[in-house]
Amino acid sequence: MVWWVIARAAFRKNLAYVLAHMANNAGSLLFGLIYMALWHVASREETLGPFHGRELVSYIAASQALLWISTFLPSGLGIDLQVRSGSVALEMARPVPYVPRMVAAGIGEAFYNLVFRSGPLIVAFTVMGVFPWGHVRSEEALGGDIAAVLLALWMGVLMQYLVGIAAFWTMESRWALRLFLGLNMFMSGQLLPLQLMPPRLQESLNWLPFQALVSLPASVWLGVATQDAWISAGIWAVGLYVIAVLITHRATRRLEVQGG
Amino acid sequence: MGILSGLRLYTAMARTTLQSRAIYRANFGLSLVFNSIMVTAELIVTLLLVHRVHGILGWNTAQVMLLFGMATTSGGTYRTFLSELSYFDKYLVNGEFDAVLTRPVPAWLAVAGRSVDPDQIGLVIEGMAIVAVSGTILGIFRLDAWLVIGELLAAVVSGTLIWMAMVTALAALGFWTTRVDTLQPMVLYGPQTAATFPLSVYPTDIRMLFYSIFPVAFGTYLPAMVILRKGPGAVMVLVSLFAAAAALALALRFWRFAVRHYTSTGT
Amino acid sequence: MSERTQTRSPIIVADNLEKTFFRGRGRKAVQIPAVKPLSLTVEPGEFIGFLGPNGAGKSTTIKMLIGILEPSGGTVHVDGLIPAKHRVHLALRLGVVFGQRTQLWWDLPLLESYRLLKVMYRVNEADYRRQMETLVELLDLSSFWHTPVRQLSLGQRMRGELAAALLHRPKILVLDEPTIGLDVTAKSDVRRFLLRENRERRTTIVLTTHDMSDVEELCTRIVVINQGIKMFDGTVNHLEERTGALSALHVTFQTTPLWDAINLPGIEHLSSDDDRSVLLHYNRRQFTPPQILEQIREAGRIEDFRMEEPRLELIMRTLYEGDGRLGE
Repeated sequence: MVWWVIARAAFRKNLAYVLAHMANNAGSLLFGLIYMALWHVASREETLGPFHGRELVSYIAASQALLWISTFLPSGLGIDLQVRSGSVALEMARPVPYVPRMVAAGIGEAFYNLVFRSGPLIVAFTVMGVFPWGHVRSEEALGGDIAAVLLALWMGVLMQYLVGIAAFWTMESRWALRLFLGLNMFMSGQLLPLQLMPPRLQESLNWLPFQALVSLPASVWLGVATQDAWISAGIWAVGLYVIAVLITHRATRRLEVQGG
Repeated sequence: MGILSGLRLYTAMARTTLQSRAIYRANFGLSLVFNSIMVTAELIVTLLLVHRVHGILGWNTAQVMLLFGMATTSGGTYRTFLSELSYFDKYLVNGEFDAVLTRPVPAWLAVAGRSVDPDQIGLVIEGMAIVAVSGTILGIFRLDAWLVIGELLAAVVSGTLIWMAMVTALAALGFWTTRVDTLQPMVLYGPQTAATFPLSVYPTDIRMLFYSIFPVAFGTYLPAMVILRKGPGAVMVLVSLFAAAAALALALRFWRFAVRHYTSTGT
Repeated sequence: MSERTQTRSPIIVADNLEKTFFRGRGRKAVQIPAVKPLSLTVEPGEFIGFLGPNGAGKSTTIKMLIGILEPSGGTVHVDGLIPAKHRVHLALRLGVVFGQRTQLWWDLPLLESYRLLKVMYRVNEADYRRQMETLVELLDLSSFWHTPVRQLSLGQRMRGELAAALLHRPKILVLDEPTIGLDVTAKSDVRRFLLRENRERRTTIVLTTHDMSDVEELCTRIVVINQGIKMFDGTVNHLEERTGALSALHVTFQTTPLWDAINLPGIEHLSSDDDRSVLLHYNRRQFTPPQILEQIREAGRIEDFRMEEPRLELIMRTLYEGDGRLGE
C-alpha cells in the first residue's frame, strides 16, 4: 500500500542520523531529570490531585517520552521548505493526494522517533524505576494504553501539518511553530499535569486538541484519564484531519491564483 | 588586539549587520509577539507549579518568579548579541567560515559582529518586567534599592557571560562534530530550564553539573540568593561575576584551540 | 619601513608544506593526504596560476598560504609571517576573493560593505577616498553602486568583490576561481583589471582556475598540482614545450573512415565516440587545422569538424603519461 511505502521511506531516511540523535537523547534525558527532580521534591509529602507520591515523577517520565512522538516532529513536516523552494506546486500535482501523503510521511517520522527517541528514554527511565509500567502491564488496559499513544502520534503529525501549511500565507512557518510550541508547553500538560491546574482552566483545556498530545496518554498510563478527555481526543482526531483537508484546499486555490 | 579597537570593530560590524537585517523588519514584530507567548507560557507553567505545591524548599512563588525573570533577562541578552553562534554549524557546513578567516579580525569577534539580533530584545524587556514585578511583590527594592539594582545588573552580566561561554564552547565543539544542533538541547535548553528553579531542588550530581560544565548557578541561583538575603553575602555576586568571566575566558581558549583544527570544506 | 629591501626577498616561501585530513573516527579513521610535501617560492610581483583538477589540493594549498588551514607539516612564510599563527596580521596585507562565495553583504549595496571593510582593514579616510575613486573608475562600479548585492549580476558582483579585496591595497591578492561562471565580456573585464593591477601596481597575484585561457592571458608562471603533488612549475611556454602545445580537433566523417589514413605522424588519434568520428590531438606549433584536414581527406568525406580548446585535463593527462621527466 502506498501510504505504508511513504511512511517506511520517511522512517528509513532518519536511520543515517541515529548516532547524532543519541547525543540529543542525552539532552532530552537531562531535561527530563530536571523536571523529575522538581516534582520529586515538590510532591514529597502530599497527594496532588489524582497523583500519589512519586506518580508525578512517573508522569514526567511518560511526558518526556511522549513529546518525541507528538511534539518534536520535523517542523511543519517540511511543507514550509517546499513552499519556499517552490517545489510544492509539483508536489501537489502528484497522483497521490497531498494531505494523506504528507501525513503518512509524518507518521513514518513519528514511528522513527518512537523507536530511536522515546525508546532510549523509556529504557533509561525504566532502569531508574520511574517509568509508569505498573498500569501498562494489566491486560485489559493495554488496548487503551496503545490507542492513546497512537492518538497522540496522529494528532501531533496533524498539528505539524497545520504549522507547515501556514507557510502558504506567510512564506515561512517558524512563527507558527513557536506558537504551537508555546501553547503546547502550557496546554498539553507536558510539564504541569492539567489535573493540577485550577478546575475551570482544566475543564477548558480538556476540550482543546493539545491535551491529547501528552496529558491523555500519560494519564491513561497512570490510570487517571477521564472519559471526557477520551471523547475530546476522538473528536479532534477526526476534526484536525478535516481542518487540514479544508485548509489545504484553500491553499491550493491560492497557489493557482499566484501561478505557483 | 586592544580592547578599544576591538570594540570599535565590533560596533562597525554590528551596525552593518543591523542595517542588513532592517530589510526583514516585518519579522521583528512577529518575533516579539511569539517570543513573548513562549515566555509567558513557560512562566505560567512554572508559577502554577510552584503555587500548587505551596513553594519549593523554602522558595515561594514570587521568589521563583524572580529567578525566572533573571534567567530570561540574561538569556535574552546573550541571544541579542550572540544569536548566530548557536547556529554556528551553518558556517562550517556551507564554508562561510573560510570567508570569516580571511578578515583581519579574530574569528570569534567576526562571528559575534554578525550575530546581533534585535528580534531577541523582546526577551530582555520581558525578563526585566518579570524581575520588576516579582521584585516589587517581594519588596526587595524597599530597602537599599540601588544596591539591589546593582546586584541585579551584576547578575544579568554574569548570566550573559555564562551563556556566552556555553554557546562558544558548543560552537567550538562544532569544529569536530559539525552538527551542533543535535547537542543544543543538552548544552543550552536543559541548563536554561534548570536555571529557572532553585538549584537545591536537584540531586547532588546533577546540581554539580550546574556549577561546573554548565555553570548556570553563577548567573541566576547564587546572585538570587544574595538578592533575597538567603544566606550568602554580597561578595557572592562578585564571585559569580568572576566565575562567569573565567568561564568565558576558558571557552574562548577552547574556541581558539578549535579554530586551529578547522579543516574547511570542499577538500 | 624598509619596503624596498623587503621586496627583493621572496614574498611566499613554502618548504615541504603538507596537509593531511582525517576522515571518520576511532579505528575507522582514514588519513587523506590532500597536499604532499610541496615547496614553492614566489617573488614579489609575480602572477602565479595554480592549476589542477577538482580535489587536487590547490585550494588546500591556498588556504594554508592565507592562514585558514594549519599545515600538518613543513613551513610556510608569507611576507615574513607564518600564516596560521599570524593570521590576523597577515590578513591586513592580503586581498582574498573566493569566486564561488561572496564576501560582500548580501542584502546591502556595495558601499556599506566597503565602509565596514574600511574599519576592518584600518584604512584612513584619505586613502579610502583615493583608492575607492580609482576602483570605482577602473571597475566601473558606479552604475550599480546603490543596488543590493543580491540583485547584481555575477559579473557585477565579481567586480564588487575585487574592489573589496583591494580596498586596503594589499601586497598579495589571492583569487580562488575568480572567473567561474562569468560570461565572455565579464571575464575579459576581470582579466584586464587583474593584469593592470599586477603590471602597474606590482601586486603579487595568486590565482586558482580551471580555465586555461585565464592562465594564458594572465599568468607569468604556472604551478600544476595533482593529487597533492606539484607536477609542474614554470611559464606557459615552458608547459607547452613539455606537453606539446596540445590542441584538439574533432572530426566527423560521413561514413566510417579508413583508419589507416588517419594515423599521421605527430598527430595522436586519441578517442572516438562512434565509428564515424575521431578526436585528434596535435601540437599547434607543428600543424594548423587546415593542414590536418587536408591530410585526412583521404580517409573519407568529412561531414563536420570543430576545434576544441586544449583542456586542462588533457594537459594533466599528458603530464601524467610523460616519461617521468615531469615530476620535478
